[in-house]
Amino acid sequence: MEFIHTEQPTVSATAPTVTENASLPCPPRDSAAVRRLMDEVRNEHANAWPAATAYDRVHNRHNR
Amino acid sequence: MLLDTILLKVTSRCNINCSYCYVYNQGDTSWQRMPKYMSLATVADLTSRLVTLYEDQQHPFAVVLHGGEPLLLPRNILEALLQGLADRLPATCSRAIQTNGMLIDNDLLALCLRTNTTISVSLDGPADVNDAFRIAFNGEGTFARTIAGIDLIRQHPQASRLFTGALCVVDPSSNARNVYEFFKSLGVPSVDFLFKDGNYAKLPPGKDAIESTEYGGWLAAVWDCYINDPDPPRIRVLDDFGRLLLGGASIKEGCGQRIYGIAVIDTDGTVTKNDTLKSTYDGADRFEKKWSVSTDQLSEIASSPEFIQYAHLQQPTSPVCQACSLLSVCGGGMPLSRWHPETGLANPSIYCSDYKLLIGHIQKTLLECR
Repeated sequence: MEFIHTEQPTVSATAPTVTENASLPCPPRDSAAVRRLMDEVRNEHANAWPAATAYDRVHNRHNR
Repeated sequence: MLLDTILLKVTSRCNINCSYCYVYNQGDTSWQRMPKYMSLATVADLTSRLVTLYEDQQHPFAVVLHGGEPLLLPRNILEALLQGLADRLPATCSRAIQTNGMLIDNDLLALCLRTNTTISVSLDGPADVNDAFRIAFNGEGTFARTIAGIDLIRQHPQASRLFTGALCVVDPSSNARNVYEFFKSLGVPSVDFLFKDGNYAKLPPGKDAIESTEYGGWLAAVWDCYINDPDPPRIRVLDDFGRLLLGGASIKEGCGQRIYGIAVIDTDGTVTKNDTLKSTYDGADRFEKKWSVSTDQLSEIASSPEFIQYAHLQQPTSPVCQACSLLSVCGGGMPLSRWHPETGLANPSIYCSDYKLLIGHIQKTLLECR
């Protein structure tokens, strides 16, 4: 199981003013985006990080 | 220190006039004194300096062409630059162009393929969102011409080698879900959402007060679209926050606490600080010492006390930030957004409340997804 940084924000997220951009009702248990992030962190910890150039390219890392 | 990103201001002018632009419309005037574009002589000096930089640091860096609008650079100079970099730097030193897309043509795409250069396009969303801020000098929107450029890339048989993504400056009054779906429909492999530049003297459009959370709420809504999407693109800022919360690393300045070696080179060859500092006050991106690629080695600049001190500005100095439990995730945000005319950068970001809301929201959903 992945470590999740659990310290709470000092400004509570209990009253977010998301207004018309209100959250979708419930996050999926098997979210593709979250699964991808977990895989990346696992690979990072296992020193299996993809070649930097390919990784940077996928993330469009340097453009600004 | 190692340089990670070399940002080349190959032109000091732009063919459009975005109202939020930190180069032209936030008070900095240095562009007026710069050559309109990088000369062939400066390109030759620059290329040699980059070759030496790689030899010195033995560590790859990325070269990003920027402006103004980089595609205003005369094509023969652009070709000399990109071909020189492709011929003389290892493939691990990536080359990229950040453009508004309006001057993309098939010859440019051929040049980019030949020199293994990627293209990222600046676009803020659907026409009504984009054209509220990204406007031509006659006041008309630029959406249609940018989309025409993107279409040229997408129609190219080797589009996947060319197109790396889009940069979108957030309008928090827009509908986040519509903007997300718009970028999905464009087929962009990666999107990054950037907060508008602002500081304590001048809050950005759409942010009512330091304590308000319009931007954080908007991006939290994008996160919800993202994690519910069975085939999501990459979203750089959300991936960074997500990975940091999962115990991983970030990849871009403005998130996390890693210090990045970023050098910016102006059209006359002058080496400057992070260009986004221009949004604070006139000349804020200038070093005291005037370095140039015509006279100085980049690795020597990067190891100088003044450069190292500048790079460490990425880490916030405010006691509020240093005591905050979320510092390892937000990293204090971009330095420009910590600036106050009386206290300089020693403040939390004006986006502190937005970050707290957003990070708290991501954290909550990550826990629910376990």
